[in-house]
Amino acid sequence: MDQSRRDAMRIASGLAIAFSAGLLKPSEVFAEVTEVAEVAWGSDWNGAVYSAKSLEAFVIAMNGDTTTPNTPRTVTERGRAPGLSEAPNNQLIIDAPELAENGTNVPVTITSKIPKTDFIALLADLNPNPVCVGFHVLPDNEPSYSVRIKVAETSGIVAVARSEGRWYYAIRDITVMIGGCLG
Amino acid sequence: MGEPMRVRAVNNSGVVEVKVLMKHRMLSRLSWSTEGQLILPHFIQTLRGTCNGRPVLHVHFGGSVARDPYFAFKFKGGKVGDKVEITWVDTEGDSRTDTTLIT
Repeated sequence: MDQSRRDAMRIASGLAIAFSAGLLKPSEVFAEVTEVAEVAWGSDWNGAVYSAKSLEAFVIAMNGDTTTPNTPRTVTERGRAPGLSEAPNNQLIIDAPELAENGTNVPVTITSKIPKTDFIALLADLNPNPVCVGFHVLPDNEPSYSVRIKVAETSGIVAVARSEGRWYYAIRDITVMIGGCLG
Repeated sequence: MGEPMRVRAVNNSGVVEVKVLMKHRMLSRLSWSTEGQLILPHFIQTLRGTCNGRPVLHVHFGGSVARDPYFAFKFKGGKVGDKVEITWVDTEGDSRTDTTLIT
């Protein structure tokens, strides 16, 4: 009995070393899980996408273009990314408090009524890392998600949804009293 | 392994609403401790959920998610008593899986 416990410990520590050395990526461990479920999960976490500095850079990175520089919003003019347009009226809804007392914890709910939405992302415009969350809308999902995000300063919260290869965005301005990028 | 998260799944006339409360420090950028040591960004990157083995959630987090993140989503086709399993993986390869039954 003691032997089996020792074996378990050895396997666990071996796994930990493999993870930290980068030999075994978490995606590979997940791959085993997906084999059981027999379903493809879609793309993995992509550093180029989640370090994008503006909405346009995000959409360009999501489209797989690596040649366009990753520029902040103040540099890029709005609407320069191909296939990006403003969402039709009330089709992409951002539910967030108008006045956030504490920017470290702002509850946001986004709902997409655009047909065939397969991806939704949430960005806080003036954050050092604007991209907050990317939601893959799976077939059984309702395209409505709630999450709490950090907002650095009074700015717009941007929701962007992809439907049939086209991108739609909606912006909602919120006021932040205490900035939330201390962490 | 990470600290346990709280998962609650409620069936509401055919649509299951799942609420997840994770415990994670979610450091979004480089910083230095008071001892002058470099602290690397450390946040949850991937969040996945299954219901009886069927994928119902796939989300990627960037740096700007609040500390101890709260997350809620909805999916169709769940019954009372089905097992909902949520897994996160962070930038250091640490992961945590918790399960709950739909009520």
